[in-house]
Amino acid sequence: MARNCNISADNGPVQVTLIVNNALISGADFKIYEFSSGTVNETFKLNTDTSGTASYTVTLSASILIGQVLSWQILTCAPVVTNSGIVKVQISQNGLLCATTPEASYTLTSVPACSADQSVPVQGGLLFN
Amino acid sequence: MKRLLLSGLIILLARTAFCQSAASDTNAYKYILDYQVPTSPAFSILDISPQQVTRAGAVKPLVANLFSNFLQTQKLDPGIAVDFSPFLLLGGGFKDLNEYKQSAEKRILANTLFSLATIKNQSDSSSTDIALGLRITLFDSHDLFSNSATLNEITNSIGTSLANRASAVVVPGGIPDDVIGPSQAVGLQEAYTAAYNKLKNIPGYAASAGFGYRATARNSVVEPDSLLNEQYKVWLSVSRYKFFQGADLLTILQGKFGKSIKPEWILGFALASQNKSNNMGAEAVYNFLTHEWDYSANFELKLIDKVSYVVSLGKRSSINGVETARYFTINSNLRLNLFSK
Repeated sequence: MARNCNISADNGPVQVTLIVNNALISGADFKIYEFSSGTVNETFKLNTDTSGTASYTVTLSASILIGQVLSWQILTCAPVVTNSGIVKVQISQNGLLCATTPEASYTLTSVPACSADQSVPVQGGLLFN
Repeated sequence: MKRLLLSGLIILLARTAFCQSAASDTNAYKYILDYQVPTSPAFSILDISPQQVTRAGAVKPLVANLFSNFLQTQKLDPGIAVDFSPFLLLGGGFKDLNEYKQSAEKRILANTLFSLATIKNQSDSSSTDIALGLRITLFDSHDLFSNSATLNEITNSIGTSLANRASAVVVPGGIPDDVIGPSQAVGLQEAYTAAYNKLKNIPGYAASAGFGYRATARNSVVEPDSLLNEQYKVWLSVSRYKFFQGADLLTILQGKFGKSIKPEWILGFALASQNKSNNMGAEAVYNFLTHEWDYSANFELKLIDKVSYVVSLGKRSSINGVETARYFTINSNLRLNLFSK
């Protein structure tokens, strides 16, 4: 099911936040591309800190973003004894969360240990409307 | 009870072996292995580890040890120990790494290991020695994720490595579907090496406490009526990292109790050094019951990845309550150390 995020063309920049819980660590690659052609207009990377979050403010203006796709791949590993958790991608504009349907939230189990040099990948995306 | 114990052990071993296959041929692995590999608490109470003075220190989430002292017995008869964290099995967790660092109570719970072990009885091959152990790591200043000197740096290094390895797909005319897995390698060796190197020369302490129960299951049947030689052990272990010339000072106070034995207390000291290819140490142990000192030198040589050979040369007056050669003995075992998560 395609995921959509409704933003307002004149409500300021769009912020992307990566969140992971249960003391896991995530790092992600994001690409913003034209829906029909696949032309990539912006790329950025995020990695969570000790609070499990990381944020990026998209440089493309909201009016340009409409009709474009945000694609991500998130790699997650477990640095301590935990091995499960939830990783989320949240989109906000001017402090308001974009209610994506379905929610970009992934429940991870059997997350490999970082010390074993392994990670579990999560792929997903959404369309800005 | 017997089936329950054996089934649990088999499931855990199978899970470990299965998960390990996905994590093979990794370089970062050796850093957590080298960082601290405390003797399995259950092996400790079975008295089948050459070392008497065991380490306090960081816990691995799930560890399986295979053990064989075939050089002495000419029999393979491997002992098996599985260590795991009950905190995780009961659904415990952390909000984030900050909570792991700040909440000592939860960290202690998370770093509490429960251990199961079995080995064939040396004097009666139809019987099996079984052990349950619990080790509570109270404190470990060399835990990379509870130490202020390394927490932010290694978290950032790992996160950056993950981000650099990640690659979002582009689907012209579409939106990428949600897909989770399968696991993939990252390349975290550099991050662990940097953190390991930063800590390895910094002094610090680790402390752990333990409890163990052992018994011989007559005819290998685990039922109350067939359990013989039941014994209990309690111990407190404190390690001082980089105490002398890069070696760690380990101390242990241990009591052993049981219906068929006199209460026995030992106090042990060891100097031990660890590196990527071998571990070595020397220990002296005073037995308050016999008023005797035991002493030995221990070497653990990593033969290949996850397989090491442990040899101990020295005087040990008794092992498992059985009097041994009074002056000079050689104990050795082959240890296969697996862990997956």
